[in-house]
Amino acid sequence: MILFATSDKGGTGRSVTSCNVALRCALQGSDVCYLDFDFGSPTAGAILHVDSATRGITGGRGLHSYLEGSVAAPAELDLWRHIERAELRPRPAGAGRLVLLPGDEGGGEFPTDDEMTDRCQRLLRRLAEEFELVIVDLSAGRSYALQLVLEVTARPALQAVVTRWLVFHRWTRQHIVAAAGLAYGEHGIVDTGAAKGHHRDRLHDSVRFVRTAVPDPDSSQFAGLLPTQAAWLQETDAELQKLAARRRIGRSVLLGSVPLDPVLQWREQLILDSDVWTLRIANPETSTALDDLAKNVLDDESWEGL
Amino acid sequence: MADERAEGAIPPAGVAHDGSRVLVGEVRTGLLAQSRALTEPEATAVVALRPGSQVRVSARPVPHCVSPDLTLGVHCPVPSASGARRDGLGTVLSRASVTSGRLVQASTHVRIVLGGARPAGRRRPWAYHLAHPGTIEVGGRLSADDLADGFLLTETGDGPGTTLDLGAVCGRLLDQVQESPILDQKPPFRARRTRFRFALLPCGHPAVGESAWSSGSAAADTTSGRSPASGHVCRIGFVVADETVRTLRIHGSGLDLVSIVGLCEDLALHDWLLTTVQHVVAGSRVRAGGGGRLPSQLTPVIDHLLHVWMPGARIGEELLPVWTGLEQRLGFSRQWESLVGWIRDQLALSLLASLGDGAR
Repeated sequence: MILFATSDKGGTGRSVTSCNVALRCALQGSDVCYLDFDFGSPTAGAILHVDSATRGITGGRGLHSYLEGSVAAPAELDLWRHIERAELRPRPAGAGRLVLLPGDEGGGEFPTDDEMTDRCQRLLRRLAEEFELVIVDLSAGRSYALQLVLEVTARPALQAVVTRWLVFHRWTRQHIVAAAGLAYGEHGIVDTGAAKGHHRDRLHDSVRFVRTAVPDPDSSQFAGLLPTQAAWLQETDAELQKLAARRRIGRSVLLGSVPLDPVLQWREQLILDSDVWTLRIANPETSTALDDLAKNVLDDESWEGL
Repeated sequence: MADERAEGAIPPAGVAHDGSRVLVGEVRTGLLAQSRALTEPEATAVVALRPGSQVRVSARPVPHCVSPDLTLGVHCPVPSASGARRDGLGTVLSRASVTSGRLVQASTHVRIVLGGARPAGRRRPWAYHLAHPGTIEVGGRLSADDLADGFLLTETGDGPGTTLDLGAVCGRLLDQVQESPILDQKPPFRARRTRFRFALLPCGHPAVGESAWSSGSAAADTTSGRSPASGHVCRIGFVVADETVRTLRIHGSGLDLVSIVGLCEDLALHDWLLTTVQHVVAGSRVRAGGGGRLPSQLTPVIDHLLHVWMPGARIGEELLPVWTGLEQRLGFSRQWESLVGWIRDQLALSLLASLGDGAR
């Protein structure tokens, strides 16, 4: 399966959440690879604790260089050898492969051409052959990268490969509206995809949403609130639920919901069991939510047509 | 198996002498992107890569289809461990094959002629190179060992560079086969591709090596069915470099190049089988113990891979000792049998467990 991770606005936690999902899927035994298609700011290396690729890699072997045609194949970093976290070394028993294809340091957004589309198609098909889960982290909004992958996935060579979409958004009014717009609005994913030859309904059915930084009114985090504050929180949450349903991004297309967690927000890195249980800096709810999201990503039932 | 460097009087193979030839190549092996085994006509269609050219098909002992040779013209520096830049001009040959309707291989090889008689800087016309497919001529001095080390030991051919990258050619061909519209893109399980690089160097005994290597025209070596007795292998070195890269270095003389490539393809195929089954077994051992149930990862391996093991099936008689030698030292077949035995035991255990459930 190729999974495209996107969001309308920046700062939704798309990359950090997808990296955590990649790690958890790999720990459960799947072979996973992660492509940093956020060409303007390739930071997946930093999130995944890869010191040699914190802002993309140097030496002109990243995805950017590959798509431009200056290298025959992009660099693949075996994360079990590159992650600088002691808990993940050596490779945990039973874990699948976990590979990062980083971007180039100093890359940028670029217009695409036919040859680039060919290279992208060849790369994605090969990775789908070798990995159970291929996560492609796209930059925010209606980027060139989004155009490129919609073009590529409409081609016959990739039509048989299962491709799915995850739209990340924060749990606020503006983010809900923006995420719905990116998926179903004018020049959105479904619209653009259909124009490029995708089957509209099928593409529509392959989009799911992930809510990030969601405050849970019932959690212990908010135990000290004044009654008026608590009531307001409940009320706002209910309103947002209604708004999401009206915009057709309600519970039926919800794949996961990640709670507000300072560790996720500020450190923007992997959350491991040790962060929850030994260091006690991350909330167990966050870890559970990420586990559930990873499980749903791999579970075909959660992607069934509506 | 003597090391030529031990004999002081003889110049080591490293010293370039006119017309010294090195065969280098790479084989990439993977699982066909198809949910079931291809039938013979389907497999033939998948590797029919050049219109008008025949696909070679053999049915025994396992079904095997080989595409016609594809020629690619190259003009770029050849690999070198010392970093010497020596331009090569000529063509490389590639072919793709499907074995047992399940496994797909692409292989690319070229014979590099070092320090030819022509003065450096003077090129032959392209027509000459096209008439000698699969040969690159290198101007200037470059030793055979330097070239082979550069080719076999370089970390990866994927960096931005302008040297000859057979791996890229090979990978591209494998992609092309896997993109065939005949395939449903739903492999029964995921398997890594492996890269198998090989180099055939002169023996290092100039008297023997020279006579065998310089006789006949350039094209004759690849096509003639020489008497097997004339060829011999001095030394072999097989290295598992990392999880997916393997290298084979053969020193020999008078060997038929086509059968060397065939040997390498066969070795690469069996090495892939071993690597893949080993990986699956390692994964399922960690998760073993589900009430005697068969680990689910093993089912596709039993379905699709166990019957493909057929070592040495397409190897000429003169090269059989190479296979036997590797077998003895590395124990390919012993390891395979042990893995297969373990899988069958798991199957028996799961059968007992389900019989027990039925009785209760």
